[in-house]
Amino acid sequence: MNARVVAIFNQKGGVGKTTTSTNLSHALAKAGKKVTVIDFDPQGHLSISLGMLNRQASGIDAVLLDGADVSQCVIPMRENLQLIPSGPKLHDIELMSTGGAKRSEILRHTLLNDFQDQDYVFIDCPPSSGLLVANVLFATDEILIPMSSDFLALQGLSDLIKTIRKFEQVLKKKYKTQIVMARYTSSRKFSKEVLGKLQQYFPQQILATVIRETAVLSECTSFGMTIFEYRPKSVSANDFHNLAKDFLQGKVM
Amino acid sequence: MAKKQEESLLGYDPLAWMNEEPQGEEVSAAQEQEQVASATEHSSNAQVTQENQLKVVLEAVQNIQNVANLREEIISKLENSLGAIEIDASAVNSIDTATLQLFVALKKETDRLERVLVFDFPSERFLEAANLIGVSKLLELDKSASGFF
Repeated sequence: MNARVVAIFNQKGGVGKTTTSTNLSHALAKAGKKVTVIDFDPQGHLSISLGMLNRQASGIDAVLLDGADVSQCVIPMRENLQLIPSGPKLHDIELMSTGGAKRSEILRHTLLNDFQDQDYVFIDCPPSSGLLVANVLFATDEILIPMSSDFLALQGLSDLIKTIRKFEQVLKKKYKTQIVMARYTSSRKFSKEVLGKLQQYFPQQILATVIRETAVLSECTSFGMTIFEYRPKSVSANDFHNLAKDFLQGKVM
Repeated sequence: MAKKQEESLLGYDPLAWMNEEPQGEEVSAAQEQEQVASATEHSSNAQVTQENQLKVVLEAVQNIQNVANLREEIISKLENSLGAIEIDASAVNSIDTATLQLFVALKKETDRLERVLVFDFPSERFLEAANLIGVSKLLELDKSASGFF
């Protein structure tokens, strides 16, 4: 059976993409699901968040540029959770003007054929809308959009939806798109308004649990730990545990 | 900018354009009539649609035989709209210098008018031709999601 492949994508930075990739994937792995995360951001922040500090290790860059076998790049990180790092050459792809179709086909073929023993594959996209993201949008059918509860994130979402629509139009497919409120400041009225605005435009597409913004979520990255390792009894660990349940059960608001 | 709503902390709704989109099958009779009129109006080589922006979808073969029609179509739309101009170049298999010259002139005109011109998904053939005659940079093709089709 094929894995469910999900691109975690928002071209705006600072909305919680990598935090969501790290902790949602670990939550699912802890629930017994076999999960692979692909670090598609040349900055390699997902790898760092999971505790992998060797930034020279080959990863998805070697698969796309050199035809390497994906099995050579997989690194087991936790029980049921494996990582494919970005690799040092991933950034080169962003600067290339040709060969996009070929790389997209390689990625799609890899995702379809090389993860059949996995339940989920998450692709942590870079905060841009360049060629790397185009590769991912070409190769996947499902998008999870992390959002923060501020105005510029709403403006960014507007642009993001236009980008997705363009791809849908050209590729003649419809993405399954869901949103996760990944940085929510519950004490601010403005955050509630932003969430309300999202509910207005994206009914039944927002995962039911919001991730409240906390200090521990920022801190755990520097230790290369997920929230379940750093503060397993914190509200943030509880939030991600509930988010994983929502994701599995399709529970939306 | 939208007017600030009473008791709302959000002064401007960046997603408001989503309300203006036609909702799939729920097309009113008036909208349908408008679409038919629009489709009849555009009988030349390029398919042009009016959303928030002016959109031109290029055909697989763009050459001297259809460049005049394309020019007329673009000029007509330029005069009758104010938004950004998007040219979908994803399907182009063959393009000649006459068409590229038209785009160079269009780019200069849009710059002069302070309008936005974007080439969406330019195909590898489109990029090759633009590179060959040295207009890729001028047309800002490096900013597009290029080389995919």
